Parts: sequence; structure tokens; C-alpha cells
Amino acid sequence: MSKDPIVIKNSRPLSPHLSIYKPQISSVLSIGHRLSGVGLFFGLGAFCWWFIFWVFSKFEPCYLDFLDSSMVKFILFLVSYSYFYHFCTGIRHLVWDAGYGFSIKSINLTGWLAVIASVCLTVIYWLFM
Amino acid sequence: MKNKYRSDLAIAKNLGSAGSGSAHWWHQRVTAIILTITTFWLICFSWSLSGLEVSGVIDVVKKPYNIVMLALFTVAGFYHAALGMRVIIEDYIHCRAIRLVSILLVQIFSIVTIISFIIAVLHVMNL
Repeated sequence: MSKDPIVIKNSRPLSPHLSIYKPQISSVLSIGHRLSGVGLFFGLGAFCWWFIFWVFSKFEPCYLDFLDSSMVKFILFLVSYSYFYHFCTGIRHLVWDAGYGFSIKSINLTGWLAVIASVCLTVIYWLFM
Repeated sequence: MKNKYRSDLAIAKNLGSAGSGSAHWWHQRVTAIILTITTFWLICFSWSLSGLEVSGVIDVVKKPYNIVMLALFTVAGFYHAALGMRVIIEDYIHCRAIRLVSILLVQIFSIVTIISFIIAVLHVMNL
């Protein structure tokens, strides 16, 4: 076997090329977990700075009125869905970390369960708001 | 023959594991469990706030139980988010300079926000 760098380079494992890879429940949920995580980072930052400015503006009522605008309501709805989605798929990750649920059957089952649960939680959350 | 996955250049440049990856992983899990539990509080807390006027919101927020949970949620949330953002930045940003600056921005933003938020929460508590 040669120690030529090109040969070494070609023998390294390649990650799947996502653009020609058929979307599956596992891969779609995985990228969704990351996307919702990024969204929630900015959502949490926005919430904190809204709270900080509200407190140090001596509790201007306009900060609460701001939450009633339809644009903000829509963003809050998106953030709440991202939260419940990330919550459900996150619990799935914790179960995997504990060493359970690695069979193809249970990965597909818990994947769809997480999707259904996140939708249900979002609906229940806003129904009781 | 044993497969050699690291190139000679990588070995010469001493690239490889920093040896501290498990702490990142473990902190991500600890904060995940804290956030799982505080989620139930967060749902009830936001329900109890809906439709309230300013004075009502302050009365609910300044309850000691809510203050503690709000601070716990935000600190655990930002720590968890900063760790997660770091993983995503390292995976998708390939330019070293932009990657380093992005990770720094995420971490500095998180620290500044947490400190300001805690001070705001303490301010509400003392009203």
C-alpha cells in the first residue's frame, strides 16, 4: 500500500451527499432539530432583550401592546411550535443517549410520534392561552 | 493492513481531538434535562400571564418561585443554545475566520444577555 496523500485522502469515509439523498423521517427530523434550535436561540435572545428593555423602560405599556400585533403573534406561534418540536425530538435524543430505541422500526415510530406530539402540544398550548 | 484515516499533514500539524469533547456533550445533556423540567413551569407561567395588565404581570413575575425558575430557564437555555450553536457553526461554516468570529459572537451575546436579564429579574424582584 502506497503512502501517497491522494490515496489516503480517497480512503477516508465520506459523509452522505444530502442533495442527492432521498429525504427520510430520520434525516428530515435531524435537520429540523438543528433549524428549530437556531430559531430558538434567536427567539430566546429576543425574549430576553424585550424583557430587559421593558423592565428598564419603567414598564412602558407599549411593550405589552407590542405582543398583540398580528406579526408578533405569528412569530410567537412559530417560536412555540419550534419549541415543542425541539422539546419532543430532544426527548427522543435523550432516550437514544440512554441507549434505547435504535432499531429502524422504533426510529421511524418515535420520529412520527414526535411530529404528532409537537403539533398536539402547540394546539393545546394556544387553546388554553 | 490497518486503515489510516489521518493524513500525514494532519499528524504533522498535530490536528485532532482536543480531548475535552465529552464535557461539551455532557453539559448539553444536563441543560437539556433542566430545560425539559422547566418547560412544564414555562407553559403554566405563560398561561398565568395571558391577558394581564402591567401591574398583574409584575405581581406574577416577582413571586420567588417564578423568579428562580425564570433565571434557571434562561441560564440553562442560553448555555444549551450556545453549545448547540457552536456545533452547528463548526459543522456548516468552513472558513476558519468566520467560524471563529461566529462562535465568539454567540458566546459573548449569550453572556451579555444572561447578565442583563438576571439584573432585570432582580430589579423586578425588588419592586
